[in-house]
This record gives sequence, structure tokens and C-alpha cells, in this order.
Amino acid sequence: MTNRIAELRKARRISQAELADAVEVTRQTIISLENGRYNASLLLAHKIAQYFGLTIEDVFIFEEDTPC
Amino acid sequence: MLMKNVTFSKDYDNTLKLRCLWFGAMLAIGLVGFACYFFLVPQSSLGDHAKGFYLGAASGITVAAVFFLIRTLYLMSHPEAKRKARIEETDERQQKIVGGAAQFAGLFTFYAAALALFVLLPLSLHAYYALLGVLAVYTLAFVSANLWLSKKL
Repeated sequence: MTNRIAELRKARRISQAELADAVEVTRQTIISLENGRYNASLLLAHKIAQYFGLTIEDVFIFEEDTPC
Repeated sequence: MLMKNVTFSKDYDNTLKLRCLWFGAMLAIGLVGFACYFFLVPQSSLGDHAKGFYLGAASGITVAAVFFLIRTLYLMSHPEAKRKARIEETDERQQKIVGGAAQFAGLFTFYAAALALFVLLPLSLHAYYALLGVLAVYTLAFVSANLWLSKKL
């Protein structure tokens, strides 16, 4: 699973702390998500997608060969 | 961690209120320990180690209870601090880390205890049975929790 969080965040000039605050997680979680070290739960994925005004599929890209 | 799990509710205000009650109960235990140390222990024939245990345990429990009680009351009266604490406590990555660490610690302890059984048997039969009892309780708790969670989830 990869995601476009860093790309979308930078395009909107939002800091990691601001995004973390908006979706109610710690900044470290956003960093881990952006680095691909951690996969978001469905609830968090929904919150992040909603924050950017996109669908989950637009933000998170599922790759079949990637372990969950 | 245990206190967080026991007192966790979907409403964080309720969580904090419940936590206050738990820390209040913990404070009561500490104060009872002090009362025992000052009023009962001097008249008893307990050794210095046992007397020291009363004082140490009562002090530790009381100090911890007062600290956490003050912290919880502070969070209840400061909305921004409460919000930050709620985010940190409910952060899904953090919960996963804590769960993974607890799982590892449990497994490691179980294997270490199983290994210690072999060493203990020729040394002390009482210690062997005590450790065997702990392992039995751990296994029973694991099976019970597994069954309960299987039905719940």
C-alpha cells in the first residue's frame, strides 16, 4: 500500500502537524504514513481522504504484491 | 497501560472521570498501607524486611496515585491539554506499538519462565510450584481473553 499524503499535503502547503491535528493523530503517525512504514486503518484513511476532499482510492494506492 | 485499558470509554470525559475514581481508590490503598505501618506493624512481630515493605509499598502507591490524580484533574480542567492527551492515547499507531510490545513482552516472559522451571526444580520445589502456577494463570488468562475477544469481535 502506497499513498499520496506527502504529495497532497505539500501541494496544499499544509504541515505534518496541521494534518495530524486535523485528523486527530500524532505527527509521528503522519510521518510513518508518508514514509510507508505504517498502513492507516480504514477509519484514518477515510478521515485523511475527507480532509483532502478526495476518495480513499485517490489518496491510498493498493498494490497487490504489497503485504498488508 | 492497564489503567488506560480498564478506564477507556468512547467519551474521553467519561474516561477521565472513571480514571479519577480509580486513582482515588489507589490512593485509599496507599493510605491504608500507611495506617497499617503506623498502627499495626509496630505491635506485630514482623521482621525489618516486612516492615520496610509496608512503608515502601504505601509510599509508592500513594505518590503514584497523587501524581496521576493531579494530572487527570489538570486534564479535566484544561481543554487543550485534554485534547492533546486524547489524541496521544487514541493514536492508532501508538496503540499498535503498545499492543505489539505487550505481545512480545508476554511471549518473552512465558519462554523465560518455562526455561526457569528447569533450573528451579532441583533448587526449590516451592519456587517451582509458584512459577508453574504463574504460567498456568497466564495460559488460562490468554485462553479466556481469546474466547471473549472471539465472541466480541
